[in-house]
Amino acid sequence: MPDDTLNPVVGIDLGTTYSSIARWDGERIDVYRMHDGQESIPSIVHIQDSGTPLVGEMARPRLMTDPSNTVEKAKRFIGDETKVYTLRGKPYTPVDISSLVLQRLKQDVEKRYPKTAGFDIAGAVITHPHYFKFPQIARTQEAAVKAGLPVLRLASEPVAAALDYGFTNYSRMEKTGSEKILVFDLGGGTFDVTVIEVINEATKLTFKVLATGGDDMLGGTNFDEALAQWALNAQGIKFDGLKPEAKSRAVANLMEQVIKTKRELSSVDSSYLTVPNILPGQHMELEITRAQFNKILEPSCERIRRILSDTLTTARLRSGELNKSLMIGGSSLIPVMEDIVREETGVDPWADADRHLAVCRGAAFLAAMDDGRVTKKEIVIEEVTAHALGVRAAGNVFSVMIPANRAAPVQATRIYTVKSSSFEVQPFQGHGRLVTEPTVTALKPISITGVRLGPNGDADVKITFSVNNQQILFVKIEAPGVSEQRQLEV
Amino acid sequence: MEPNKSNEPPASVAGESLPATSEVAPLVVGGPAVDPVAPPADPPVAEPVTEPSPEERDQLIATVEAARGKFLALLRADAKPKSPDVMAAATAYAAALNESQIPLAEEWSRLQSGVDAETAVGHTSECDKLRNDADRLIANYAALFAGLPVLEQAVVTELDRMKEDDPPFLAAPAEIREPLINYKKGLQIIQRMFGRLHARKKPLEGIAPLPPAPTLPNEAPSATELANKLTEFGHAVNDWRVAGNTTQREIRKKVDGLRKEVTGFVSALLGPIDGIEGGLRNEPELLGRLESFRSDHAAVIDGWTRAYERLDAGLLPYFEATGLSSLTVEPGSAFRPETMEPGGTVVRLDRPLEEVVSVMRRGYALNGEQLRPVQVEVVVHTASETPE
Repeated sequence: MPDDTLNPVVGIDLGTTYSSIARWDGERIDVYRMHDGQESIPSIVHIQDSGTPLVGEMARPRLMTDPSNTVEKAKRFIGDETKVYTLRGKPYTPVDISSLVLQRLKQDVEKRYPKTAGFDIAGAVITHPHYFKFPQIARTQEAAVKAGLPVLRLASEPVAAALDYGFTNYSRMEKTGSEKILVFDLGGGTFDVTVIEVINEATKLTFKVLATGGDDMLGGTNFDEALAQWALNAQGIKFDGLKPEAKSRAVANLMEQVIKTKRELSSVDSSYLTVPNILPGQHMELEITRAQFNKILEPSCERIRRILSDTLTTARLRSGELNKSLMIGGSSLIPVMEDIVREETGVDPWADADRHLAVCRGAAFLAAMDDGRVTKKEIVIEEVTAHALGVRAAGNVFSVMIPANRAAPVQATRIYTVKSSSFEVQPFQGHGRLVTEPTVTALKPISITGVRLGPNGDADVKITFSVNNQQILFVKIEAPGVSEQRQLEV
Repeated sequence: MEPNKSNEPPASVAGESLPATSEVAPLVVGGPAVDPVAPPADPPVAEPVTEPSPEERDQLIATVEAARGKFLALLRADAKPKSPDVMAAATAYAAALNESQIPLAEEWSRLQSGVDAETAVGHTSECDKLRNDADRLIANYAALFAGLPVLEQAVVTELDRMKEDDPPFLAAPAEIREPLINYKKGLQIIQRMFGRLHARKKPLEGIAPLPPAPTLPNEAPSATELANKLTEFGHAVNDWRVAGNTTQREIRKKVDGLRKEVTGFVSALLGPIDGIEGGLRNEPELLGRLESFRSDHAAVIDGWTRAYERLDAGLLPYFEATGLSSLTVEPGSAFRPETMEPGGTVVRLDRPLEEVVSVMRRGYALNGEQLRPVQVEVVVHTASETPE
């Protein structure tokens, strides 16, 4: 019988801004508290003079005092092979930075036990956003291995959140059936929405991602800024021409009150946004109702509503087919978000989700199931392609072979014409018309030589893309004189 | 052969003579094999009672102690609940005890001490600590509200000094009256902020004491009952631990809730307190503007200003009574990320990197636990960009 204390299996939410770790304690999910009592650490890394990394809360101030040796939000760049941070003269890739964050989580947990106790993490599930492309998922795994974590698997954040919701039901054999779940994840800087079908059978638990959508530039920070701007306009206060110190102080005071007011408006109908003496001879005192706040958020809400509606359409859900809406991410606490979800889905949001830790908790539960510590069930995660897959065609056109939101496994074949006996098939992933757009990512190219050209000096090339359940892309290239098959390294 | 009942050597052995003084006679080859010195005769007893030797006794005691230790280990906080090992350990302990002939009452009191020591650690001590935290938070909360009227009264006292219908004020030029009315407005906002805090008051509940750990009866059971009674007791302690772990989780959640409530209130309280600090910081600018009018309107200017200085000084007794403390730092100190946050930077190559240039905003702590770091302006050596 494995020891859930000394040899636990863990789930890790490697977040853009915060990261957390939880374990299966034999009966339930237990989120580890870090040495400072918090349940998460900021995903910030600073390299000190000595070359020693400082990770988490202690690294945060260095973003201002020593920004050239401090990195935050490295997750946004993971998978980008060209991205290198030079810190104290040494190169660090986003994988290195993410690995330091993961290592810090691991070490913080290890420090609770004496060295002689024999503490050793037996297995780990690491989460990633559903929209991550192949290289990003592969590099996340690399970061975990580099941190010394025994990786059981990687899982997408919405799937983990769905597992947290269902952890009591799904682990029992007798509770079988199917549920369609919406995961609405609105954090500080990103918004993701996913529709998942969970099929619970006696010996198998299947998560079928039906559709996904989102915006990685939309979140709580946008709402704070909108509210602050509204307040400054309403009171006619301007920060132009101020000394940097006075401006910094005024902004800090204002934003602190803005965040308090925003949080209060989640539980009361009206609140005050008050900053006396914000500047010499200037005060801010405003009463704001929830209706006014909602109006301020309207442009963001419209965008959220549209993404949600498109995702539900893609999932082809008939009226009444959705069973649950899970609200996660701190910004999902804003009441208007629940209203939007209720209106768009016709389902009351599930109120009991741990909005900040659901992903980490679900990952720990998945680790426990994978490791056979909960009732052993085979876990099958059927993803849809989060992004379109295609190749570069003439004129740098992104020639799509498998569109986004197609259930895996999926296969597509197209015929292209080449005018040379050697050429390169360059697969791409993303969305856009041209492969040169920043939203389109290049995958590893495949070089082909020895094609027999026809009398017109050209040849037809048949390219087949297939994506399996593990989201691995297989590329098959057939041309006269050539048959090349590659599994794309991710 | 008749046993020799004396300590004297036998006078003669068949065929051989022995020197009278000899204690150990050499055997003569060919003679019969005999004990050179016959052992003393044992007293005639019906059934000899074999007292264990000191070594054997030590061994038995060690066996009992090991069995007791094994049994006690199964009562520990990290022991598996409802373990079948408990019965095995209890049975082995009872058997070792019976064999050792150690008086049961004597061993019982040693076992009781061991049980008390084991059940005192684990969730009992952790829950006591959590209960203390809860009591302290509730006391802080009560003190924070109890002191509010004093703070409000201090603001009212300041506002009472600022009479807009006073003839000297009315006689002053608009360049004096307008900034002073604005100054008063800041205080009125602070007064309203303090006033609104009362609505946040909620009744807070403390944490009930935990059910006590099972204890052994004072009287030891009979030797035949011992194994069963120890097994029952071991399972009762394990059940108490399981229930205690659940309770501990619930208590921790409650204490987290209390802490959230208290820190939430302090966070709201910092709004008007920051307002006072802001007023204090802005005051020199106002006094500078009014300086040229001082010769003719000193009474008005002095009567209306310096309110923030007095209010700020009045915060100290409130802090002392509530467990709150303000955190600040001397310019020139080294930056410490544990207690400070940088709000701004100044490029100064003549000063050490990260030296504090000025305090931009005070930090605060409750019971020594930092709630907000001191915001400081620090020295940097290059106005560098982030590596992104």
